[in-house]
Amino acid sequence: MSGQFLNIPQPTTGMVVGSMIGTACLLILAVTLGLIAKRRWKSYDEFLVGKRDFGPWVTGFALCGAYLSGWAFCGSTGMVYKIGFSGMWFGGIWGLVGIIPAIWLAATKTRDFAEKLEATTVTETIGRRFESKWLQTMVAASMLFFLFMYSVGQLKAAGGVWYAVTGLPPFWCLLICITIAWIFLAIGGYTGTQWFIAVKGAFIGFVGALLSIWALIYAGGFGKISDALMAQKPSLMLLIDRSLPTVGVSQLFSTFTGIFATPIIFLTMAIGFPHNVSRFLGMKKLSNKDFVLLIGIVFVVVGIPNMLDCSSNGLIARMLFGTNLLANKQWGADLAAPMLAWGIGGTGLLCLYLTALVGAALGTLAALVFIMSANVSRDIVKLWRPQTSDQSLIGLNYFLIALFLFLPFYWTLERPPELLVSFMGLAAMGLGSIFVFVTVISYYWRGATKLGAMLTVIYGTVAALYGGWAVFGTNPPRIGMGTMEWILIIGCAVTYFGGSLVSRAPSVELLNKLFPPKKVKMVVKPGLVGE
Amino acid sequence: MEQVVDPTAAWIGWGLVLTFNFLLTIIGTWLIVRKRREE
Repeated sequence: MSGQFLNIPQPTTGMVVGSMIGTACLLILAVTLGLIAKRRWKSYDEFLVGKRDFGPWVTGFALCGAYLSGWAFCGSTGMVYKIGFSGMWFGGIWGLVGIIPAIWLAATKTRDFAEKLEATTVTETIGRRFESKWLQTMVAASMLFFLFMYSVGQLKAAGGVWYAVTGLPPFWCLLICITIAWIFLAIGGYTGTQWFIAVKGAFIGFVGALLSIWALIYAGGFGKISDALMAQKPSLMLLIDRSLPTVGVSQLFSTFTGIFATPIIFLTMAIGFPHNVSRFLGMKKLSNKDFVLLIGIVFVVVGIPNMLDCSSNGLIARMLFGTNLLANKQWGADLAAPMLAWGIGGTGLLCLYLTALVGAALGTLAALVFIMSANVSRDIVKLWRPQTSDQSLIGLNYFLIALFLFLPFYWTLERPPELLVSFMGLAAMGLGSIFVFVTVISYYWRGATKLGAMLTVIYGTVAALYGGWAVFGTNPPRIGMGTMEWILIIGCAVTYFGGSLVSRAPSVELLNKLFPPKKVKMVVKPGLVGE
Repeated sequence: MEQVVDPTAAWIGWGLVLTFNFLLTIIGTWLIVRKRREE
């Protein structure tokens, strides 16, 4: 380790106590929200979607909370810390270009379609949109598969950082976290989840903005950052680092094929992620003023912290710590953001950051797990066995929530199987590519058919599995991650539109209900009246 | 081949990407809200 830079500090009593207090406050808040939310649902349908009365504040913060995972909050800083400025492309510099179009395209339509179709989940909305139980089952299975893989990595950063900061094994911290998550998911249902994710979104937005702006001031501005990094390793300041391999993940930083794929990745992920779109299921009908407020909230919360976390924060961490964090073989670059918090703000900011990171991981995991459990109970069991009682379905949900929380916990402590690790890498891109078409484009195109949607699900799943193997499962990788995104998105577009064009659309009655003919304004010139 | 590193250009590029994000979302929102009002 170089003595010219800061080193990872030894855990102090202040760090341990502060982190415990912060996390305890977060968990107490989660249970409290769950208990209050319990009074707001009476039936299985209300458990799944609430009363469809959330306004722009809760919906906006909840969307930010679902979108800003542990990766966005912590991993993106680590990537720029490790690779340099060029890491920003995949780190999240397209944050706004992803999430704001998700509101434009999905907010009102998701709410309206779900209400018209009396659907309580995104999957059910899709199934009824295409009048197909088989499509609904296929979508539920595909969503479950991808969300499961995506969920496995959610606790990793939080567990690692917890250990590095407090010196305490993450076992008890994570076990308490998932137990609390089970309590608020089970008793609070959709409403409790939406509230907790909203609080988490607002909190990590605040902490992220505080850390980013504080770090920029602490570093002395852009010029000082450049000078320090140019003295350390000039290639850290390259926006495209051609010295990196042009296959595997680094293609996203080293070639134009990769870099141009990054905004598409963020756009499709934000719009296609079911845990993002689900935030609109319980939303009330928005006025224009509410709609602008919703966008304003997301613009501020995502725009400032996310886009600085994934660019200047990583550079400043590198400026302060040099390569010292990489010497930690177990957690390495994952420590960049929390150590930056410690480096510039001491124990207080570090504890605040750690609390936010635990909240980030737990909130996104909660959103995923709630959808996964409903995928089974509502979209498969209730669909094929409609006589199943609400009580049984709620009981099944309780069990599935526990199961889907436990598996990421287990694989955070134990290394997941190699095959799972390979497929996890492409889960987010696969989800985004499939569901941007199957969900959101289907809100706008009358001609979409169940065949087109089914082919897209099949193609996207197979291509994502191939991509996981070709990008992460072989050494050296067969292809670049950017190339894989193009293969996914172009293939999904071809199967969706091609399949729809050669098959029959749903019934005219349904289509007229979902796509009412536009009202034609009759303008009568006064001079013509009576002639 | 060694790449020439120009930190000022890198910051300008970064600033342009941020500006693109902000402008696109603001203009897009304005257009969508205008369309909603017409409806």
